[in-house]
Amino acid sequence: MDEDRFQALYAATHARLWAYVYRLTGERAAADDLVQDSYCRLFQLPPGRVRAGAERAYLYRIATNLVTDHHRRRTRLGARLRELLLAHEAAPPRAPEPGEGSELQAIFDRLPRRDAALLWLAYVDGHDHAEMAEILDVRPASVRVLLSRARARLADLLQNESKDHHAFPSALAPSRGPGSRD
Amino acid sequence: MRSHPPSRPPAAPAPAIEPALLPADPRERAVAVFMDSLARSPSPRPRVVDPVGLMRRAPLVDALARLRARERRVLAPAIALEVLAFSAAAVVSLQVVGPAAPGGLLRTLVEAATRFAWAPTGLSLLVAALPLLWWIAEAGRAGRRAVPKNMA
Repeated sequence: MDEDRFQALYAATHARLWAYVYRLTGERAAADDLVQDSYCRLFQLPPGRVRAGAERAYLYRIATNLVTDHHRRRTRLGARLRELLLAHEAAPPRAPEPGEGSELQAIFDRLPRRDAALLWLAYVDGHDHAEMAEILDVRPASVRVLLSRARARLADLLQNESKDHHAFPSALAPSRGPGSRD
Repeated sequence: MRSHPPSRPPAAPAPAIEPALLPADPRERAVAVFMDSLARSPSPRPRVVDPVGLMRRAPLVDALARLRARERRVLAPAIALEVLAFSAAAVVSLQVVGPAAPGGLLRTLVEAATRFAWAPTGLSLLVAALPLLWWIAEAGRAGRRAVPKNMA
């Protein structure tokens, strides 16, 4: 990739990629490092490895893999065995970063990582199914099913939270104006 | 006291959900509203990095990643070989010392230790041998694949 294209891609994607990685890791320092590593690895790829126009999806794929490696390094052996036995694993518990929307993030952290990534890519970043398949390394035909399951898991979580604790009314009120900021 | 800079949403604006686009199903609507709220909720600032600096650093990052991958590949066999070396040395030492040990409790202990010392030796031999067996099997399979169909 030539330098001009790299700089244009960086300017166009950095803020959104950082937000994606930050929501999956929950740590500002880790998000900084992983995002920088992602750009470095993309820049180092031999020419022709990524087809023109697919750089953004490939960048997200590198970042997603780095996030997975980051969590694997942090989880203990027992959790890793569980990850091998079950297909996915929820992110390990963590302390909230200063200034984050910690209640919402706490619910998001309880989702399996692949579900969290799918939901963020679909709802926030607006990737289409083909891009999501490329990023998460799954078959394009599976994305719809996986997304549907992720949506159902989050809906169950939200329902349980509202039933048990009444702690997250802002997240659950469907009638809230979408333009309002927290 | 706040030690971080004041928080704000990421620089890219989060997409707003049009009321007309909200799903009719209440569960799906709750998910859509939750994701919208999460995207708009405050988050720390990313560290600003010059992309030119990233381009300069890229070869180093790549080299480091390769080095770490190589380290990971050799780590388990290296540990197994360490255990093998130490436990084999323990077995030999105990075999030599065992007959010369004075009778009674000490001799019993030395004999028991000699017997138990074979366990890590055998186990680490097995662990060290497994990658070798796997490599031989892979090489054999690759060799068979390399034979053209019309030659097989």
